[in-house]
Amino acid sequence: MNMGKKVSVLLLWGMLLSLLFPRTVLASEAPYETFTLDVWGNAVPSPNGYVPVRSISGSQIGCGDFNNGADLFYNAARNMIYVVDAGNARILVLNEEMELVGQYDRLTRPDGSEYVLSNPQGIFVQDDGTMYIAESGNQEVVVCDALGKIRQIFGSPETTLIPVNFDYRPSKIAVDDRGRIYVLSKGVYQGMVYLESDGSFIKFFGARNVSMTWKDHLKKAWQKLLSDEAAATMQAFVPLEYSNIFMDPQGYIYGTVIGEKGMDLVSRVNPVGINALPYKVNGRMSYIDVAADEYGIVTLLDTKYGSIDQLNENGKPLFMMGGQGDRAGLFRRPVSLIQVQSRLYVLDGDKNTITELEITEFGRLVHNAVRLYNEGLYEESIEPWKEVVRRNANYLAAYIGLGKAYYQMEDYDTAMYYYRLAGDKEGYSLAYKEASLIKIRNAFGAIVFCVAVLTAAVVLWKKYRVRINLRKGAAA
Amino acid sequence: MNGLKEGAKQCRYTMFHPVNGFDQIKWNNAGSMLFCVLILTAFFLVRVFDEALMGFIFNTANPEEISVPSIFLISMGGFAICYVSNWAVSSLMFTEGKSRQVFVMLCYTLVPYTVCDLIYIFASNFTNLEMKAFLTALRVVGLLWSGLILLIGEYYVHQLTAVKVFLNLVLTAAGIVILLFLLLLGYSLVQQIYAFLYTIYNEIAFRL
Repeated sequence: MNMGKKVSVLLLWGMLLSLLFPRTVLASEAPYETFTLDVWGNAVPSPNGYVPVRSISGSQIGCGDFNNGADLFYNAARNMIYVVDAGNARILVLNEEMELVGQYDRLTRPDGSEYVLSNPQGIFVQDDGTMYIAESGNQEVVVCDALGKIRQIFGSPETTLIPVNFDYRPSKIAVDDRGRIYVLSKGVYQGMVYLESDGSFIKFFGARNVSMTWKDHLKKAWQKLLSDEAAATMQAFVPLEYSNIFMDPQGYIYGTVIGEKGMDLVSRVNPVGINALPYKVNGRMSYIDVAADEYGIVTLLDTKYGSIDQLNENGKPLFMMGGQGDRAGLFRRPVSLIQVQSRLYVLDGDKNTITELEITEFGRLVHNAVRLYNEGLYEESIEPWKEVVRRNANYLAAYIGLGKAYYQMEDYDTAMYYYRLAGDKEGYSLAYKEASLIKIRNAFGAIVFCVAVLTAAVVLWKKYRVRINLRKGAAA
Repeated sequence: MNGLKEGAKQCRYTMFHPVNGFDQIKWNNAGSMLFCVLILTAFFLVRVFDEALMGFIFNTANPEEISVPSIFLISMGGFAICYVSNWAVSSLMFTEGKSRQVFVMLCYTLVPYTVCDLIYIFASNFTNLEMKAFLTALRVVGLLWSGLILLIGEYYVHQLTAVKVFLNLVLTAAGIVILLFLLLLGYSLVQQIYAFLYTIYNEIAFRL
């Protein structure tokens, strides 16, 4: 038997054996590759931060298939997941194990009559179980308790800023601690509709700037040349509408938009309406939902590419994953995303499933480091960051974290080393400044000594020269 | 060697006394071609240093994308186009500048900018972001100085009036655009001929 034959027989046996032991799906396997960005904005492969565990359909949890699901909401205090099943006009309540615990398709009005949901699009649930439902079909916001008893119904906000015959279609909703309501409505580009807890209009919140590309500037210049009638037919320059809003545990409001390079596609809006989350993208992204935890880790969902992008609080990418497809972990038309502790849930409006993604060991490591740093435990965050780098030497966020940690510990030379690896020029500059100050301070004695010696030398030399001149003069 | 030393001396003199310096170039045939070539080499090197040796905080170049040949092509090719355009335009305007004098004048123009840039690159390795304004000021000084040398040089080498100096510069800029257009045209022509010949070669090769 020659060598080639031996090898082929071995291979054959191997194949047969592998039939006996069917390949078990490993938890670390994912149908997508995970990426992060390098200094120059290029995508570089990274170990997976999350992997899909299962995908749950409506019939699996015993309530019939979802139809055109619109929104997911998670209330941590109640430990419940709310699913807005728009096509079936109902709200489903699931517990953490994804078991059905409640279902609302009919609510009760205060006078006892029935209220039928028609096209709910968004939901927010307070800790006491009060539900705020954005009813797009009935054109109102419905507030009801956990039993489905309606407390209040808010129609189109009464303000001169919105035309009377405006087609009010509430789509997404968020409520702050004091019961004030933020509503998104289709066609409202002035920002979020900000309502008092009694439903009266306060103002538009988080209004966005009109972002103009150079093409828009050209268009505008052309518009100026046209007659008023012709110009009126052209597209007006208005800010982009928010595609979704989210309120994080600290009460910050996040808003996403669908847009392109150069725009703030996700913003953490402070009360003044200024964005505090610097995150820029290179291409055109269709961010449809955002979730954030108490450590500022922001997760974005793109509906067109089916991708999930996770950022730290400074807008630096931690993980970019997902994609278009039919396998679990890929999406057709994802519409909503929630973060439940270490898991992510993504609702797909076309596949009518909820996909559960579980964090990997690597992801846990990264999150742990981010958390430690956020709590101000800089020294403690060094080991986790170094472990992250050991597994992925391309991980920029880790180098920035290490740089910051060493900077806070006043080890400026090490901080410079890591800032340099991270390409963080501002950080490097700060560390460099401190390091050079220390060097100057340490060498201060030597500098003073040198200056003194030099001065003395010059003085002596002048004196000596004068004497020579005198002698020369005397000789002459 | 002596010429080189004389050229360096003349160049330094011209930087601080441009009127007298360019007068010497115009009427006494001062200035050394060899030294001008040295200036050009220094200019090219500084363009490379600009990407390769710039301090980390100020360096915007991606180390993976630094290409010395392309820097050479852009800096030296750019200079050549400027020189040809200026000389051609001046000939059309019937000015008195000779090609040698135009060459020396344009090389001298590069000197303040190159020197300031060299200092900039050196200092950028010992500077933090807060001191960036000083470095930027240095660069602006270099550019303004170069501009001044160019204007005075044009004035004396070509023996033009002030208005015509500006006209000459504008026409030179236009000439540069035309030259670039012609180069592009020539390039695409060569490419098409190459594609044509390659296709013929392929057709023959397939039939053999």
